[in-house]
Amino acid sequence: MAIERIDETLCNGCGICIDSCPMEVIGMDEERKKAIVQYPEDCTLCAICEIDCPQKAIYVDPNKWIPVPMCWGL
Amino acid sequence: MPSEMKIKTDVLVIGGGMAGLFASIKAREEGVEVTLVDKNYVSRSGSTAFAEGDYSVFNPDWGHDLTAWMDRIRMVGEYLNNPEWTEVTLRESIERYHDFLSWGIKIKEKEDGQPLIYGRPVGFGPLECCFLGRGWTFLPAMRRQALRLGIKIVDRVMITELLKQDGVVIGAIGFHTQKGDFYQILAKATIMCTGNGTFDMAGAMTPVGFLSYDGEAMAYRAGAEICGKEFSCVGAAAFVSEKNEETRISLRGKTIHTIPTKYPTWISYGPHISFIDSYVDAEGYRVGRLTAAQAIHEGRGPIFYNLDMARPEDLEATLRDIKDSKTEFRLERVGMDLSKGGLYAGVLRLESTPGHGIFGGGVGISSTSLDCTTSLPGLFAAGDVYRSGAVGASYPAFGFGLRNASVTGARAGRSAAKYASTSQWVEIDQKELLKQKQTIYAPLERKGGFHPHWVHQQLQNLIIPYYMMIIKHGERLKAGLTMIEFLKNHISPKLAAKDVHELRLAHETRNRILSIEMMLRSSLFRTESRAIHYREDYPKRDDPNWLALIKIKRKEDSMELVKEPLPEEWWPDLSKPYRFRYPMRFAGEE
Repeated sequence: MAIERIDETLCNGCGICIDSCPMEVIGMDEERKKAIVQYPEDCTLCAICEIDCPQKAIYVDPNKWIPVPMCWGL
Repeated sequence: MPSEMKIKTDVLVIGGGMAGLFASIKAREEGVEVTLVDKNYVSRSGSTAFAEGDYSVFNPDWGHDLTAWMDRIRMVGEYLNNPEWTEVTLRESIERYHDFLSWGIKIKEKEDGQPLIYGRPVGFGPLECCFLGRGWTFLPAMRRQALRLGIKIVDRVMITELLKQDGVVIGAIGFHTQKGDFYQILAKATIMCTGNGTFDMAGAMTPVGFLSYDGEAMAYRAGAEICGKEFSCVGAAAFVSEKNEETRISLRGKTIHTIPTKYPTWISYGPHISFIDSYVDAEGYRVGRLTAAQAIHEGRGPIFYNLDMARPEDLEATLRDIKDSKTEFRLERVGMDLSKGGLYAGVLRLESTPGHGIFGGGVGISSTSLDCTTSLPGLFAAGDVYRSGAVGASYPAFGFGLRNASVTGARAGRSAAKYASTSQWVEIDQKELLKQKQTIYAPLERKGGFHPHWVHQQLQNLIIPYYMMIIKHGERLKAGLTMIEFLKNHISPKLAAKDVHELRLAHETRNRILSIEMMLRSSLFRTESRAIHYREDYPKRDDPNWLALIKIKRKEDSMELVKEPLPEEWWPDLSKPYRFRYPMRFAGEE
């Protein structure tokens, strides 16, 4: 399923992955200061977030299944 | 309503990949104020971020021969290149190479400390390159250099339209893709560096699903000429491996695995090995990359990669690149071990992403001079969005994309700086600005409508099957046009977005629709086959009738296509036999 997880115990909220993502898949939970996956369906599997994460907190799965979208949205 | 940001700058650069960074840096070095805007984060954006890292350098000191290079590029591009631009991009590549060194970017060296210079694919003509490393490894140094020089970088702002007054481009507008703020940027000169486009959500070769022909679409809407769109797409194979198994197909005594090929559920992940010319069809016959689509068309699909057939030196080069870019984990995760050879299933599909389309100056906003000007005063362009003609109707060799982007970027930066020093800011009419602003945010205001994901899927289904843009036919192109006109006229104006992220997707989708229309119209217009443009109903090159370019221009709400013959001195020698002029064979040609 594309970007699969951001390990909360490892994430230090630095936000590098948010800059790294070219599709805005990753956002910040401002209250908890943790990176979160906000638009998983737009992940392009580039894995830059995983490569850039200094905490090794991110795992990108090589498989991606895109659900069949309805015309008014997913 | 979102808050408004207003920026005034001498030179506005839209897009922060290789071309945009060079344009910004070279303009700034001329002493003007520069603002660089990107819809992502500069250094993690553009196809450059995902580039393999091959950088073609022409250097007589390394034994390179200008005539040999020029001849090769003309032959591969089937004589549609602009030799003046080709020569400029060759000659100036060594200067850009030294720029990289001066910014602390390391070029891969041999054991003796000399730069590693190689041809890729191996043995494919005289064209050679060096290795900069994966795009994401060297781009941070370029971003740092830009900031050091005082260039203002604005990340996460998607530019949606150019601003024009009295026929002159005076800046651009857009919105912040996270905060939603409206941006109005007034510039004395504007450089478009937004790259190419793709229809893939998850790309195998180059994961650049964010590229959506934005610059080309904006420039077209503003009235610029677009050229080369019939050469936008080319077949490429996405490959998968054993862990992605859904279907097992026994081939030549080996069991291999493939995936369902129903759109849009393809899965793609992995390195870039398509240059290994070792496809086999379902019956086990070897087919070249150029005929792979034909094999599918004849019912001999699916197409597989057979690494056992790959030349050891090609395989070695691939393994070296993967090791250098520390991306072995991506292969391991899908259960691939290239060093062991074997068969890998591929799905031949269409892809117009950089890496397989003719990027490097073959498609995009039409060039009007060696100063990177366009047909719109005030607008300059560089990189993949710019049809300089440095390459013709096909991609000559690895390393040409980055090289072309760096040279045109640097040239555009200098020319725009010069232009900016003699022009003034022009305030935009407030009524017009409000109208434009409402158009930008309209998808957010709609209570209902069509979701960008769904429309994107319709576009994929229309344009990706091999029979539309790889093996073309007039009747199918007309059918495609009927559908794209419907999507443009009925669906595009009703795109709806829940938030600013979806607003970005809506604008990207709108731009893609326009780009497909250009591709289909140009493909229909060119009644011959040439390089990567193959028409079943016109299966041969037509010299000298089609030693010509097709230029597209907006005429009110319709597209106007014009055929522009090339100067005779650029033609191939017509006294030589067809086979000599065109060594690349189309299906059915001897």
